[in-house]
Amino acid sequence: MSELQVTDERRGAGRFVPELFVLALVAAVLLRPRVAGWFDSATLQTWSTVFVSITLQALPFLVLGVVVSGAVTAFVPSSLIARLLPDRPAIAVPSAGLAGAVFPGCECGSVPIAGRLTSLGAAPAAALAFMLSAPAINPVVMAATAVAFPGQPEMVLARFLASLAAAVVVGLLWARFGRGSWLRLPARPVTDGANRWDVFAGTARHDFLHAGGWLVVGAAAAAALQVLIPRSVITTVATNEWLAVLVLAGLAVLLALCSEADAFVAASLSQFSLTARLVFLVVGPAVDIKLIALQAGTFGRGFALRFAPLTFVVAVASALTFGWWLL
Amino acid sequence: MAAVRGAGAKLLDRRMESVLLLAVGAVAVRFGFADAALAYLKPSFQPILLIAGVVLVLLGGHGLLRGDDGGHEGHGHDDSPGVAWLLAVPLLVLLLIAPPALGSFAAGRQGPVATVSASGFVELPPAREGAVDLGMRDFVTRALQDPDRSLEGVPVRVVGFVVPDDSGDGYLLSRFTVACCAADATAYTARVVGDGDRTADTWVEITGRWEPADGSGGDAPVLVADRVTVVPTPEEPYEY
Repeated sequence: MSELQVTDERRGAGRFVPELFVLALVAAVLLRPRVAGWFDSATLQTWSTVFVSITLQALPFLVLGVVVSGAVTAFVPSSLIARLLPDRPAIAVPSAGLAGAVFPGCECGSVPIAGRLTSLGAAPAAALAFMLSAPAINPVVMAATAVAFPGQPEMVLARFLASLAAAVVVGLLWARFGRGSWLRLPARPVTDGANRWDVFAGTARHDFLHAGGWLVVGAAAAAALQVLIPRSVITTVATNEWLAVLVLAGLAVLLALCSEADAFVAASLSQFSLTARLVFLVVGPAVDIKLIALQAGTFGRGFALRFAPLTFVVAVASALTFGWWLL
Repeated sequence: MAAVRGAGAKLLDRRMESVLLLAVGAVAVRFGFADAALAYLKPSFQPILLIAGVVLVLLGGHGLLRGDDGGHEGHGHDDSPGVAWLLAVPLLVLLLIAPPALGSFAAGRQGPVATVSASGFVELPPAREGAVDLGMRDFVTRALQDPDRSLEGVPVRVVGFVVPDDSGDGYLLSRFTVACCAADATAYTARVVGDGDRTADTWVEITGRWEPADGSGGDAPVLVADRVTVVPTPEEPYEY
């Protein structure tokens, strides 16, 4: 039915939408000198800078993610995915978690990939474990952590183990208690008979538009919070260990930093204990405001509402466990 | 959300999807070359952005060439996400606001820089024209943390922007250090004395000396200015 509506709409004025959109962009370029004075509020400009920065920074990782998701859809037979990711969660979830250690992606790219894996028949629990571990324990992130905490290799080890454990535990919990109806799977493209390159491009295009729109939501929210919460307020609560853990866990969610950069921010929060900073590093790549938006877009809002709190609690618990043990 | 998707699906056909991808891709390609990108990202990030832009342009071009009404391949697109329209927001923000690099407003909102674990400082670089060129981060961390007090009595030259300060005499001089993008920027700030007041966000090059504080660590270190020159905003506004 919606197919019919689309066709009707296209016969009317709607068919010129792309041209109008291009005209609007050109108009924006031409108008810029006239409207420049309207936007010189320091708050708006700072928000804009941070918003554009997060968007531009995440863009390549998102593109990498949708290229992989398109390639998996077009060129890897579903039977191979089913074989590579066995159905038994006790085996599939830990191996998917470990597979994340070799995927050099940011969190933005791993969400569309996890979405595609599930729509191609992978067990959701395994895809979710991969989605959580890939941005947290890949070699780039581990190297960045080692650079940010010189002479403290135990921080790198603790981050690796705590993030991997959190991903596996969340995956196993989802396998045990999760219901299929909580998860809205991305539409599965037709692969029979179609040109594989068309499938590749169509899947990548669809996934990019979807995830990209939600990325904008997350980046806008994260930028607003960065402009609203002064860092000086945050750094005055470091004296109480429990409060410090909660504040840094919340901060990781709100700031929505790239997992390759968060170690440097954590390193500079030196009033906080190493364990509290480990919580910041384990929570951030697993659950933050931009990821919640991306996951709501990929798997549906009902999913995000359950998954984000679950991930948050497990990540904090895992970081505290490994922090007390290793740091 | 259902409403968003429903309304969006009507307006977002294959051609529109492709045009959005082309527009986003074109901006990414442009920022892959332009110095303007350095207000948002570190320079080593530009090639990656450029590649991502080319991929998006190819995907958009492929969509346009494959025809606008989907034809035999148009199966998936009845669930074209209306949320994709939001991709136009960063484009419009860039085109209309063209936000500048972070400045005094953002620096003023950050607390004094936290002490990083002092894991030893390398030797100071050789002096040029009577003073040592230092980054703001290097100056601030050496001033606050160097157990060997390598800055003591050494004339230094630093570049930063002015952050007005009504609490004391003089002004603050600041510059951001960025790990990935401006979202993780940390301001390194010193207090400049001996130069009176200056307008916020003026970039200056200051030759001067560190004045060791008596005990109270953590606050901004003091830089006594000998010579101050107003300079244009650097091509790379952040330190990395």
